[in-house]
Amino acid sequence: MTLVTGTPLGGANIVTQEDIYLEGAPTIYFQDANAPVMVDPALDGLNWQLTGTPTYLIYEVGCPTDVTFSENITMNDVLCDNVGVKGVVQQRNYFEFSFSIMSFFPLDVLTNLLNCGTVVEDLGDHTQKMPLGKINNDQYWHLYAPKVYNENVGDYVWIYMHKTQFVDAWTIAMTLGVPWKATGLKMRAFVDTTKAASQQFGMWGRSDLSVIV
Amino acid sequence: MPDARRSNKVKPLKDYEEMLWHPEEVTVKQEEKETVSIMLHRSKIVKIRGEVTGKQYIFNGGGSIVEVDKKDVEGMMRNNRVRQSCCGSFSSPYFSIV
Repeated sequence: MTLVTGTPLGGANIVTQEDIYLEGAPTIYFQDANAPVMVDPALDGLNWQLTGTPTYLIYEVGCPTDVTFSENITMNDVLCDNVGVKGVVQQRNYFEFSFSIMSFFPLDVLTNLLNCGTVVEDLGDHTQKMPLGKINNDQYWHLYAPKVYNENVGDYVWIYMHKTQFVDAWTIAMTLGVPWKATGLKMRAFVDTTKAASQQFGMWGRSDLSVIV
Repeated sequence: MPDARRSNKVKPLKDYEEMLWHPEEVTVKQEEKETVSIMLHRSKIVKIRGEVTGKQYIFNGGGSIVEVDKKDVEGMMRNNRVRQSCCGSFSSPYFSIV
């Protein structure tokens, strides 16, 4: 709403936000971080996207709920004993996607979410077996989370992270009359030192044919 | 002393050159392969028994390739039936012929 009075001076130099809103969870894809990312497809210094191969499959998280995207920072005041706090020093530690799922199959996708072992499937016996053992701390994943916000024209946003891990303890609720739900799943994004300083964690993008013209 | 080339019946150079210029006269028998290379598109160990031969095939993870008897290929490829995910998208095929 434009104010009659009280607006800043230099009105030609004010940037406002758009009347477009995002709703609902993105689709969450992840892929072994050993898979090469697209090397700067637009030649703008930003790497993103996934390319699936038989060796480096792309997994889609089934029906995620309670999805949040957050960051963790260390923040310390610059305290001057003469005048007080003059500023803060901030260090970004990591980003984190957290979510819950209700889709547990197939086990060869679930095993990655729960940090379990390699699934053995016998198509003759019609069985899948997922070992529950130690966590492989060397397993990292690319994370790609696109969200279409206008399905009529295909406008979308995406968040891409170079190097993430499934961290922290999960819980599976098994309540009578309610679908099983695995909560506490977290994909923590760390710095990838092979990338440029400005995008060592990843990037956030947007594609909109009608607005970005 | 007899001429070494004549005594060992070495072909004169002229005949050899003719042979080189008429490659169509040389026939190479190619044996038909009895197996087909199948690749797994899933990151897991998959054990599957051939429907026709009863042979056990073991794939060791995504991208692994196993030589499968031609008679078993059709049955194996039936695992490629399209499966819809809970969010409406589709999984890629289980196996592919490489």
